[in-house]
Amino acid sequence: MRHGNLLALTGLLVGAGLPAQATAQATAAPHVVSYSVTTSSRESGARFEWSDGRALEIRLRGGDVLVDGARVGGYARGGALETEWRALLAWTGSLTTDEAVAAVRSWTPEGVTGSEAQALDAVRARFDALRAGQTVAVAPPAPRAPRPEIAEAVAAAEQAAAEARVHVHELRDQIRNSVRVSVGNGLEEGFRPPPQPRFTTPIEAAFHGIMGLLGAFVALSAIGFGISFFGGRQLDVVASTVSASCARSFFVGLFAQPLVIPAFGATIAALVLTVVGILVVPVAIVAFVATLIAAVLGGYLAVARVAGSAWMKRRHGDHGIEGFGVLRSVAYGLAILLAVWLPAAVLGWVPVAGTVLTWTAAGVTWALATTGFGAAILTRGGTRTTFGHRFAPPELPPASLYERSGPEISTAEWMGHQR
Amino acid sequence: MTLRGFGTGVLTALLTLPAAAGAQEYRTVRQSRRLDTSAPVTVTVEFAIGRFQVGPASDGRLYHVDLTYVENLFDPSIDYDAARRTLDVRVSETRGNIKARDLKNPRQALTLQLHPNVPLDLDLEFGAVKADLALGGLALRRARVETGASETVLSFDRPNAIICDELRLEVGAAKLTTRALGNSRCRAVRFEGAAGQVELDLSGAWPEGEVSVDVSVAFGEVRLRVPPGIGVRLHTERILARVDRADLVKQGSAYYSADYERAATKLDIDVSTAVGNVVFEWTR
Repeated sequence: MRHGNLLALTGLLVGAGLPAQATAQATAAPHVVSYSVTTSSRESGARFEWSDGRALEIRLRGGDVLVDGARVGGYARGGALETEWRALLAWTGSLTTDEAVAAVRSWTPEGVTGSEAQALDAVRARFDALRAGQTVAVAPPAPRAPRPEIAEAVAAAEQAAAEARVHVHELRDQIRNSVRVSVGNGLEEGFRPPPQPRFTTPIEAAFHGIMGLLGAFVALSAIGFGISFFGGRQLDVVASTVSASCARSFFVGLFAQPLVIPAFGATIAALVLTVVGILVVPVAIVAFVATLIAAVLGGYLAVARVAGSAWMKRRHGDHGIEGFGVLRSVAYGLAILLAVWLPAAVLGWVPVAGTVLTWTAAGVTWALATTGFGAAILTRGGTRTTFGHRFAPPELPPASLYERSGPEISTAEWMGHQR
Repeated sequence: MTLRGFGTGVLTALLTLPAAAGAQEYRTVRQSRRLDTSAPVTVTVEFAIGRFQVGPASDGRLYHVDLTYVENLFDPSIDYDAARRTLDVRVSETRGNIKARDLKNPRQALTLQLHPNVPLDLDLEFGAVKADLALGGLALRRARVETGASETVLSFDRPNAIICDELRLEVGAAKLTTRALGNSRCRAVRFEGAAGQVELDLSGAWPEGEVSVDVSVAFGEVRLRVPPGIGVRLHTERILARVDRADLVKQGSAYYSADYERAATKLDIDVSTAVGNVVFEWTR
């Protein structure tokens, strides 16, 4: 239907296939100098401004056809008039003003009947009154009826395209497989593909950094909550050691780090030497790594517990030693500890300064983790209270956690009691 | 806070997230005006969010604006004052609060085309925008580009039709890439940036004589790329910044290229930065 209109318009104006061309017939009489179209799902309209300041505005909105705001008729949503009108706007929106005037003056939509036809007549009457600055001829982008040989060529091209798509899919699968194999081999050989350059704005970089930090906080909080539930006493003992013997814990952690690998090697060697122990070497490897991770992570969380409890004491007057307070203190502590990464996350993209901030945050985190690691070693994973004491500040009344009669005593206290 | 309260809060947040990401209504506006070359035109653009393109218009149009925007968020205006010869395009007035997801709006876009034969005073201001400013071939008298958190490419693929007085770039936390700034044919280029990565490609058909290039960046990296044959005087003021000055030779407080005195075009580059890198390099 629309194509029919465009064909008629083409024949009327310039004949089929001719490009837009202007015939210089300048006029000093009032003429249209500006043309704009507006389209949305709810309405569509066109506005013409004359050189003498007048304007003509035609809109289709809510079932009404409006000319300069006054209703001249109605239209059916999705009907012939609206369809042809939107097609006209889509075409003329990219034309020059003179071309648009010529196009709308020649607009002859098909299939518009009934009450829509009345509205169309009113609109076309206003279009007929429009005058362009120059008389131009426009050729609408009308697809003409394809000649038989063209139709055959199109069909052949579509067939070829369909076959090509199949080949492309096959090639894509082959390439994916070969890339998987290559990357896999490369990774096995220690090869890492070079990072692809990707643009990130500073806002994006900061956003990614903060989201990463948030993710780390959530992950560590989840682990911390788990440890608080299932190993709360051990965590408190390590935390008390961090609090009472901070320097000692740090240096123990510092000196223990170079010994990790030799200790691991010695363990494996000892198991191998016993011959029978060879069977448990895989288990020993897993156990050693798990223990190491637990010591470092648990130590870090213990430091967080200390920081969080100090914060809670300052804000709420208690250290959060019971129930939900323990979880809150761990969460507060993690927020405090991870806050050292905030400047790096926000300004990490800044050359020099970003690097400095990142390394500073990494250094602080290493020092805290080392302290926690040392405390975990000193307390044998939270089972010895030799270097610590109750995790309660001196100014507080005796904490009930370890001094409560009955079964609510720590493992360390229980062991001390046994001795 | 109880555990139940905590869990309820998390559950509520998870349930309300999908509802917050509802569909948006878009509106498209296209406007053009007959060509009138009788006097220069002052063009002012304010564009808050989306994609922004500027380029030359085809014959017969003074300008052409093609805008697609979120209908329920913005209340744009496109005004041309024929008496004052000013075009104002503003897509910055908001109807409600802008959410984080709106900052990455893929469909909101503004394309502005300007006729190359009309002398222009250009004032572009945009926020969280991905901008492609192809100003080559226009007739700029002066231009100012102010960006917020944007990703901007400013290019002059063809020489400016007239000698331009000043090109001023004011950039917030953004990445700005320039191409062939020399084709702007400006007597002065001023760059002010709060933070970001800036690449100034100073190649192109500079006007003969002295051209002033002032670059001021608080934090970030400034990369200056200059083609051979242009005389360069580089003066830097910095606090915690590293300067990579290629083969420029220090004389007094500035660094000079070997052919500075003989060169027909002399770029006097002043860079001031607090923290970051200043990299000068010759293009080959």
